[in-house]
Amino acid sequence: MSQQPMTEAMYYILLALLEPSHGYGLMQHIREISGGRMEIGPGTLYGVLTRMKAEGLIVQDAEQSRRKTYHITDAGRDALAEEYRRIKNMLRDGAVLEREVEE
Amino acid sequence: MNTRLRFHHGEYDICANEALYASMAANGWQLARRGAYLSRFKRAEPEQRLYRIEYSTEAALPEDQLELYAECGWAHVCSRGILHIFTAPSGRGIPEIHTDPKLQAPILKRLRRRHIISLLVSLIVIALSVLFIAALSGPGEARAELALGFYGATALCCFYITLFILLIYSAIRESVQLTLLYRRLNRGEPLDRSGGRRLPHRILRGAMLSACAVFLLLFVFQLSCHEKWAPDAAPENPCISLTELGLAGKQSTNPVNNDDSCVTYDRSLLLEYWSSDEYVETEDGFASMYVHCYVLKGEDAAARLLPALLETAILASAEGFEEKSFPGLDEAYSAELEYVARSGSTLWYVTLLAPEGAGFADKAESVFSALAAK
Repeated sequence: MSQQPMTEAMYYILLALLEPSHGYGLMQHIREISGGRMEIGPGTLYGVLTRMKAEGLIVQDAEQSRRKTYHITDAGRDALAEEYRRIKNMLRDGAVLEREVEE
Repeated sequence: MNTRLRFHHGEYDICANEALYASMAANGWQLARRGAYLSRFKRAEPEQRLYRIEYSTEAALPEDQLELYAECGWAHVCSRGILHIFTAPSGRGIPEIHTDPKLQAPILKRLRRRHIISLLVSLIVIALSVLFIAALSGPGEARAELALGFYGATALCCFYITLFILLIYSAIRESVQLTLLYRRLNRGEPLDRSGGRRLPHRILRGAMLSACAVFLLLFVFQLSCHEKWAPDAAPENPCISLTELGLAGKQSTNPVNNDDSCVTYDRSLLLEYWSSDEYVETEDGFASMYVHCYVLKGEDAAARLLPALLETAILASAEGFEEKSFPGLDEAYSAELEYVARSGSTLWYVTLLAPEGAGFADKAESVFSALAAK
């Protein structure tokens, strides 16, 4: 389970990998689920995928075709859920700001 | 001409290299290959293109990384070692390769560590080599050899010294650049592709490269000044001959390598150098004499160089020379078979192998007397 807060890129990559995907598809999916707010370049994406593979948060398919597909692992799901809870708690704690933000 | 070569920027001058390749592509020259110091371009339609440089810890990038980049529109152009160059057409909405500077920073940190280690290893190897040479010949003799080498081949020495300074400067600058780049990325700021101030560096680097070229040309010119004659055909020169010492006879050859007697002339930026090797068969036996004569530009320089001749004498040690006083010579030293003398700005180092019974009352006096007469 991830102890440190995730980077935004890691969070969105794990979120997008709830549906297995290959590298390029992942970039498009991230753009979709973030409403176009989040753009991840291929160098950044590859670096994060490599790191998350090493941490056991994702796995890569054995080569079925030219494209390799990435899957989230149970550890990855736990880390994502933990991060979601953290963000949710932060949002709840900051609810007091809601009126100020609206004003 | 369908290809063109151009000097590129240092390996870690990321933005400057990217800008160079983009500018060449806009002028109809697309990058084909990057070498150690030069990049090769091939003729193409002028096109606005983006170039990006990537570094890897391994020599080759993984295939799936290359495929991912290609799917995003970044075509791999070429690699050199751990440096990889990608290109994409400009203005087509192709995403930047790196969108999170903080995630790019660790690569540069590793590169910086690697670069500093290789710089330190190079400096340690150079220092050990100098110490090894000094230990082999003794610090005094090594210093004397260096002094003689510098006076005798000044342009070549200046070329090497300037080249060495240029290489060290480039290596240190690259370390500093990597450190600054790493800090910038680690702060979350992307690379500065706006151009920036590079003029002082370009001037300094250009000046050092020009100096290297000038010194090399001077050295080539000085090599072309080399001349060689048989003793009887040589022009007037400051070397003494066996005849002047009263050892006349039939010209012979060096018994070891069969070389003929000869007189040679060379020059450097600081001196003119005459040398005479003479082999004669006299009535009393075989005689040979080797004269090295250095004509410097001033008396002080000649006086400073004289100890180097004593230190580098082939047969006697510097302590084996006895100081003599001889009219017509400013300084005179003799050992059993070797003589060193100075008159004004001219220095001589003479080795005389005369046969037994050659009839010298005092060999040193004969040699010094002939030198003084020059």
